[in-house]
Amino acid sequence: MSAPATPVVPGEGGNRLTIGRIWQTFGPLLSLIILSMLIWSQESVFMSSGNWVNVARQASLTAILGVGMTFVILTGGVDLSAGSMVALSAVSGALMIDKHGWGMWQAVLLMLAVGALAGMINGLIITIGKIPPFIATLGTMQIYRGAASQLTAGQPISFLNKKVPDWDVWGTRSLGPFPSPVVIAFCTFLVGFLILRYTRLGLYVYAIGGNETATRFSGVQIDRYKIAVYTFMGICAGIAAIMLTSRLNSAKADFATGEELNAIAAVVIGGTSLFGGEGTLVGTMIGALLMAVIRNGLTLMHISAFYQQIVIGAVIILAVLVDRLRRRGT
Amino acid sequence: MSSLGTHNADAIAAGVTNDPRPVRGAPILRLVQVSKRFPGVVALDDVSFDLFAGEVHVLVGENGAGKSTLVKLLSGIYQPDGGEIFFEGAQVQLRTPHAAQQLGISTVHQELNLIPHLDVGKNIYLGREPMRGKTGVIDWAALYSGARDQLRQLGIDLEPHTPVSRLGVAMQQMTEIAKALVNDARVLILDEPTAAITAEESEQLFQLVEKLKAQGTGIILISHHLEDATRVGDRATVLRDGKYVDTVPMATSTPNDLIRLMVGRELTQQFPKEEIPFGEVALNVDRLNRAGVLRDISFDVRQGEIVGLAGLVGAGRSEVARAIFGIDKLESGTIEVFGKLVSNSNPGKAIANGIALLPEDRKHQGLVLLLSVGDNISMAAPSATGAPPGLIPPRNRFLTARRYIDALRIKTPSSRQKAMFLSGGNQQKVVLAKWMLTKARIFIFDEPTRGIDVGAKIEVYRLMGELLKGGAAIVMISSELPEVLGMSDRILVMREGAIVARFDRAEATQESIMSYAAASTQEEMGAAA
Repeated sequence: MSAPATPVVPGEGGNRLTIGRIWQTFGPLLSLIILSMLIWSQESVFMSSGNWVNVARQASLTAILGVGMTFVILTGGVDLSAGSMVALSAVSGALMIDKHGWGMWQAVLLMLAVGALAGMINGLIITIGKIPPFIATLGTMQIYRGAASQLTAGQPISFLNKKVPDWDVWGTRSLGPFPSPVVIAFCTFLVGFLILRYTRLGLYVYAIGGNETATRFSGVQIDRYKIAVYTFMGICAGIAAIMLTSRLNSAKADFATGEELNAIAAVVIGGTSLFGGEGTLVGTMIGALLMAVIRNGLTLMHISAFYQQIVIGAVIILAVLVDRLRRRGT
Repeated sequence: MSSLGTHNADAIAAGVTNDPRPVRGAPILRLVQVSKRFPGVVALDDVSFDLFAGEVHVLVGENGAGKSTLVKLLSGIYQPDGGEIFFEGAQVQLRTPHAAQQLGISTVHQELNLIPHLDVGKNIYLGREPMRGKTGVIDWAALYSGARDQLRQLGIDLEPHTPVSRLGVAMQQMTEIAKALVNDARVLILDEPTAAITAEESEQLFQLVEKLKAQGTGIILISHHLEDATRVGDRATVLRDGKYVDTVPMATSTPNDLIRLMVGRELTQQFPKEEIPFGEVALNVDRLNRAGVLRDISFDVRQGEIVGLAGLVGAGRSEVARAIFGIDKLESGTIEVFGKLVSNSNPGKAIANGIALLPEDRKHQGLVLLLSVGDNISMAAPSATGAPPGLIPPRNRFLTARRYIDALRIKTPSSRQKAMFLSGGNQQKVVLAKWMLTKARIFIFDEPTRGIDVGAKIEVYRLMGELLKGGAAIVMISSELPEVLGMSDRILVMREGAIVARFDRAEATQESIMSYAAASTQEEMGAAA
């Protein structure tokens, strides 16, 4: 006779340190360290502070979007329109600077507002329309990108620093040794971290992803919090747009194409469950760094960009595979 | 099938039954001392059972008596931990649902397993489509003519091209039966076939059952409705708490005999019920209605009082709780809390009005298992932890949780422990702590002790007593009659979405409750007259 399936016996295994648990906390970090060591052994220039600044700068866009994406994925959702939201807020701000002579702070606020609005629309479609996040944002991904193209008639808006001389502050200057994109990414991370840890929104993000029914039965207004989460994702896209237009001194409708996928990859590599309810923002930051390190290291080793793509794809699958094995282990 | 371990058939057939019953040759199906254990529960304990060809054998018992487990063993979903199963004299192991079907044991489960977008014919032959030779191409003509023959033979008036989604529940059930029999099943198991259909439809079903019986099929019928047993049953086997109680011939048995056998257990558990003076009316619901679910539900609960809602699964008890708590919308009816008319259009409002619901499915409705004990406790009333608006710092969560862990004696290594690692009883206490934090005054306990071991049950009862002493009122939904009788001050019996009987603590008995919970409408009339 076959043995019956034995469910997890409650009350056991609570605080035992299993390999799975250790992996959940330190796995991504460990991978980052090992990988860095490997690359260092091949290319000594990798460990120079100048190169690390470079890596961090390269990771910043993914990191900024990854903050919002972590919120979304923790609730059990996904946002495919993140890249398009970046483009839409970038061209909106750039147009006002270019055509209407807006100043820096007006443009910054507009970009954040456009991102927030686009994100809120996602949230409304998902909650009120009861459309799965994947489908809803697949649709708005096209809509926002199309709107951005329409606004600019497909042309880039260049030389923003001629109208607003200080516009480069968000992308190319530095705060001490830290390039501004890295500073912006860190601030976004810090805000996200504090929200997750100290606010009700943070608690409910985990609760909704962990068990939406039980959360609803606890009197939580699920829809309200979901809309807030997608709006926050949109604000992150707005922040990314400010950083990107500043760094490139221009805005274009095809900005950040496919960046949502990098953000999702960072979240997943960082150990957040795609089913929601479990994961950390620190993990996402490490995930973003890990991808930048791979790109940077392979470039230093003169390995083609095509191989880099293959390696990153493999890392994503590996990360989820390890996560799955870990879950089976606990 | 290679998966079926077979012994020497003759040797087994020789050791026939020693039951004093009408023997029609050897039984077609025989279970000998079969057991099935789950962690913490013995679902089936040494149960023996047999079925003859051309017989309708009814399985009856309360919720949790082990009927479903037995069905799942016979349909290959569960594997027994002990005992033997014989089919046509040979010992068999039903390792998968497929193996059971191949052998000739077909089951029509309570939840129908049809594909709504496909038509009747395709559903009947699903997974066994007739092929043109070995080409892998489906022979549609053979499929539909086969389906038509099958339906005609069973006397089911149904066109095989009709999409299943266009059929009512009764006809879907007929389709399921046709599907079950397409393999020339020798044994047909019908699990609660009359639960979702009307009386006339049931009659139609029973005519089909009689036809199959005449053709020599052995039928096992599981039913809550005792009149079903009297209508078509030849014999009935009663299970109670996973144990075999008795097998009786239906020719000489009444529903009351069955009820006595079903509930005849002793009250071995302890119910720490205290005498608490009643206060004001805390909750008063008046003529709650929801089409097809609730009919004119009216009752009240006073402070210090437990009102028990008894009835069978599906009688609408949880639906009353859901309606009061604002999960389901009401079509009509009013809810008053301490004399004030309230509108609980969502759980948030119900909570603000002082109502708490401890749902029946703790793991899916009561707790977020991935979150810590502290997070779960703080979830419904973050402000009550002393946190500023909008915030809920970890410190507040864990300090608050600490208080309740001590007060309710929740066994957990820390307030940061994930809820999934707690035992059932301690999980229930976490849910209770969550509601105590909201300062609720009306507690609805839906199956408060389901899946909880005996010691923890008594603790839950004690905590209920503490709540009552603190001025709370309790509505308790329970399928365990001893619990209802042991803890309730008043008992309401529900059936088919309505309250069909009301008892005071002193006058209620298991038999009286069961007769209302399971009786047909006529019997109820008779009892009331």
